[in-house]
Amino acid sequence: MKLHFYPGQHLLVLTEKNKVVGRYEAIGGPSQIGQDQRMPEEPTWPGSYLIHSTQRYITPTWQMSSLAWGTELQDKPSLNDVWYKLQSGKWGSLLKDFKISRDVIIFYNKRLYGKNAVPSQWIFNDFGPLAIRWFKDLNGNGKLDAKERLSGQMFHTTPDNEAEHYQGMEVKLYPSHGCIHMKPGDRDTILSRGGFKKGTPFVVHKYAERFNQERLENSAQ
Amino acid sequence: MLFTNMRNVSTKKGLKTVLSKKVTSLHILPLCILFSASLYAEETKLLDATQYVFENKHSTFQVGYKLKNGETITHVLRSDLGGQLTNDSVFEDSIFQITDFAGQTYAIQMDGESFMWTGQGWQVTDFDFDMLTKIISHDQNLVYCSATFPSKAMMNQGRCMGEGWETPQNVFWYDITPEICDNELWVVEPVGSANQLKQFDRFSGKLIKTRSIRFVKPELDVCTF
Repeated sequence: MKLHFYPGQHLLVLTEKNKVVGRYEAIGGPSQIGQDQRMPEEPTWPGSYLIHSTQRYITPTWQMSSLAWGTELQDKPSLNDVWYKLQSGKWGSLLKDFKISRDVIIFYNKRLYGKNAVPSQWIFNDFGPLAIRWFKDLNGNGKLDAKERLSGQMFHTTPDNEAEHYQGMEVKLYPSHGCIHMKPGDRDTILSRGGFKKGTPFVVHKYAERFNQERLENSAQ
Repeated sequence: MLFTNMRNVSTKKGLKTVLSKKVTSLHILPLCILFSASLYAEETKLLDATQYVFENKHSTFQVGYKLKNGETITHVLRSDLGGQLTNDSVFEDSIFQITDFAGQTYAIQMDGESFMWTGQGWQVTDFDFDMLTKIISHDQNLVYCSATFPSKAMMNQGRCMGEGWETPQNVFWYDITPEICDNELWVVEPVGSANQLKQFDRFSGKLIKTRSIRFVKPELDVCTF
């Protein structure tokens, strides 16, 4: 298995035994540095990488991503708050710990799922239920070690696209800050085919480069 | 200028406290104690929680919600000083702000749709606000700002606009509401782990100054920086 991403075409290609076995819509960052003051958008950097892992991603950089996707929630309307389950089994306050109000949760849930209610699980992590991480294998030993680091760019879905997928609506991808946005259904397909298995080679092509199936299959042989 | 006051109230005890303070300020203690007790009693029937109370010289508006079939329905209880209580539930989203402007009382939903109190009920207005908009000031010119939605996807970037401004100013704020300080609009923006303060002329919208500031807590007064 091998993955090829053509950012200029919003195209992700999966090959197996040097043959193209899947083509999927996927959108990376812009070709130039953007102007989002919170974190400027950046290109998905061209290069050759290895898939490292699939994980529920959390980061304090983005407020709604402070909590892992699927974290159990408890509505506390009399307190104007929503509680989340900690790993210890105790409950924490979303308002106190992350400054996320019950109003914002309900507002977001209504926009995504049409319900004026607090969901039973956290479904607003900006990186979706699963993020697929990669790294540049500088010493070529197939492992993340020495001075190698996981890329801050990764494959993931978004809460909007997860909601669209869940409700059977058309999934509309939008540009990222550098990660590769993909459709939930495509993520599941590639996962089931083993395309995100640890050690899978992954190439991000240049923005100007165009996919050519014949050339890709011949070059791989 | 109209007497206005809005305080966050999250508990029934809190509501009682706010109303008790109001009694003192209006010097009509007996009437308001009765009113306070009445509203408190009604709240237990009409609302599952109170979010905040807005008062002007005519009425008290109690914003909260009721749970119905698992959904949260926003209600505004209004009571004039005579003690009449009305329950209005025309709202589809939470109320982000209730405020007085040009002699009228307005409620702005989180989605930006606004309503005007007619004396009989809430009527949708033609004001087309961005989501999460608050009126910051209206005593000289109208200045309003929309907050940045906290998701990574740019659902709403956040910006401020005012009467007399040529164009809106893009700003980032979420939990620290911008304020007017000496005819300037001050906006605290998070930049990485730090913050910066942007100062705009309230009449022209022109950016006057940007300066770095230390970590701030949401409850602090923006004008103190």
